[in-house]
Amino acid sequence: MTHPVFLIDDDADVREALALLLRTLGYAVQAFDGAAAFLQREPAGAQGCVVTDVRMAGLSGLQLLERLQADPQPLPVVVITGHGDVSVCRRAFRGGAVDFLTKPVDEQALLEAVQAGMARLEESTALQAQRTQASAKLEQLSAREDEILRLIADGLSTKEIARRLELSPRTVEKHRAGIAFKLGTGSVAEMVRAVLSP
Amino acid sequence: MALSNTLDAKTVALTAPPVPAAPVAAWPSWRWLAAWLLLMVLGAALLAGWRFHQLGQRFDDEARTLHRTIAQRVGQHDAHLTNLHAIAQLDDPQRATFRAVASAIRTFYPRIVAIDLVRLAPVPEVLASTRDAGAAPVRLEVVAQRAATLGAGKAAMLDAPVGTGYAMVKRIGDAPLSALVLQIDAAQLIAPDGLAPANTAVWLTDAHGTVFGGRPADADEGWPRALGFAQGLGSTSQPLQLVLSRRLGWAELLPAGGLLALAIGGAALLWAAGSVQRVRRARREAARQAQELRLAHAMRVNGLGEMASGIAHELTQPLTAMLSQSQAGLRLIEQGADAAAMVPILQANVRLARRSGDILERIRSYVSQREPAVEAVALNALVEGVAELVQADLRARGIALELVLDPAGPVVRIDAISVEQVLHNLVRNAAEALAGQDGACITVRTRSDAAGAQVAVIDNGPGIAPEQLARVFQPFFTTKEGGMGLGLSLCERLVENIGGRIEAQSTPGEGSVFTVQLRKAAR
Repeated sequence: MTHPVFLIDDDADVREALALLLRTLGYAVQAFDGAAAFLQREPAGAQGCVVTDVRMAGLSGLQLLERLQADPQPLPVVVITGHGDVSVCRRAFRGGAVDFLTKPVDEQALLEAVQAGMARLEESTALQAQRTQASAKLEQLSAREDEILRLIADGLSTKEIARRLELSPRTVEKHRAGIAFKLGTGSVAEMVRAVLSP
Repeated sequence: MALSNTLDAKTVALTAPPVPAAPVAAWPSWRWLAAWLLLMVLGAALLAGWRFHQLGQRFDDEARTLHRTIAQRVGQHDAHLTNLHAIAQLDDPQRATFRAVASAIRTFYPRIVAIDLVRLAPVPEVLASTRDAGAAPVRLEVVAQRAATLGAGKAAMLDAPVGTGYAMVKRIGDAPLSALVLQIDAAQLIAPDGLAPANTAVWLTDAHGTVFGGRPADADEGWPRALGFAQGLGSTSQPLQLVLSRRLGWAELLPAGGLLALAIGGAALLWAAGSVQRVRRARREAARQAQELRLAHAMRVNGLGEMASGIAHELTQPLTAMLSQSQAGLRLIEQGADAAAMVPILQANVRLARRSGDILERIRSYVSQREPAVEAVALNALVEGVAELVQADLRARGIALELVLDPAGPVVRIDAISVEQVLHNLVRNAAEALAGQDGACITVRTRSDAAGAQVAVIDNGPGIAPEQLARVFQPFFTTKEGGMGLGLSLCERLVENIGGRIEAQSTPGEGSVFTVQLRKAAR
């Protein structure tokens, strides 16, 4: 699945031209005339690479960047500015911007920045999917199995777990088999990774 | 574009010498009236002096003529006495010849009112006499006394007046002692041949001051002063002095025609002086306006540096769009697009190139040297244009700029560049007042009502102390280090030149408000 580019600039000429360029580069583009319009996009929370101007009426590009960074899964942001002074540049990178471009923006630089943004988006989406998968598996464990998994992760042996929980080692072995089935792995290392991922 | 904000105070001073502080004031009408009256008084004095001199000369001429005539007449008396003396010595007991000659003399010379031949000793007796009916009698004892003092054939006057004249006595021989008496009416003696000099009294006096003839009682009195003439008649037998006294009247010294000419001439002179003054004032006013234009231009050029980043940003926008449109177009061609697909791209580029051109044109006209051109201008658009150019600079200084624009969209009759310059100046002043302040904010607000429209530049800076507020529009008043103090005074002149007003209000600690009141354009 390809994500769209969210283009935000309050200058209609610039917006129109950059949108056209990005479309010829093969991207789907949604253009907005300001940060507020972008934040109200439909569908809410749609994923994509943000390309924003810094100087805009209302919320500025840098303020939007800070706001997006606060999200649990921040969107990649490419910052474009008409007057690229050092302090704006530093703020942009500190704020987690993918790239910082000055107007007039060259096609190649824009393409690379958007590609980098898209790559970052893919990466975070994949990571997210993995996490979602792991937590779904953990959800299936019973309370006792969950307790035993955490003790396994703490590095305790079956006998030690049985003694700690005042169970028979056989019962503990049976629960371990259930955990291995539900998580789809018998490897202790993989089990530990599943527990550690949030 | 060469942008310079290194134009310092010295360069500005060279380009535009300081504006003269106040316009040249016209004379109020009472001063013209006073000047006219002063001219009238001076002129009247000169006229009176000249007339006095002129009348004096004419009087002198007349007096001399009269004097010459009378001196001749007086000389004739001696000649008559000499002739009569010769006749009296003829042997003619009846004195017929004497009487005939005496009568003839009296007929030709009416001023000689009596001629007597008198024997004085042993008994005084009139031997022959011819006299007017009205002639005053002469006492023979007096004649005898006088004759006794004379040598034979000598003549002299009696000391006392006789009637309205005097009498001459000529002694004839010793035995018997006899004398000739010639009695003269002074009034006829001093009567001129032709016209009598106007307003002139004439009389005769002797060395003792005895007056012969009609001297008026008020001869020496009165003002203006009288002209006088006194000269001896040069006769030994009649040691008399002719005296003339000429009365002068105001009407003679200040004739109505002369006064009228003075009044008109004075008024014409003042009118000419006024014209010269007006022309000079107009010339000075023109020079001052030319200086103002130069100063305004210098200040605009000077202020351009602060707008440089704003200008750069303004130009970057269309350039960015053009670059992207063009690159998109090239890519579309690579992808096999046809010419029709290029049309919107080229149209956009044409529009964007024009947009850049308009920005450059605006900057160029802002810094050009030009005459103000008053026309209908949308005030909100003008404020937005100024805001765009100053925003980058204000942002760099950490100052927020807020526009509060009148939704009615007032249209004003102004010279757009003058008002842009005034707003730049006011915003720049506000920015300097706000330097380094947290939460610094400049608000530019437009408002309108039936009377006109206003644009106000409001800051939340430290404000201006009341004693300084009263002086902010004065030339060369400044609180800034290195400031020339011409910015606000120039703003005031620029606003006044288009029929507007500028006002400053301030609350120390809260901020300042500079309000420019402008005339609305007729709908």
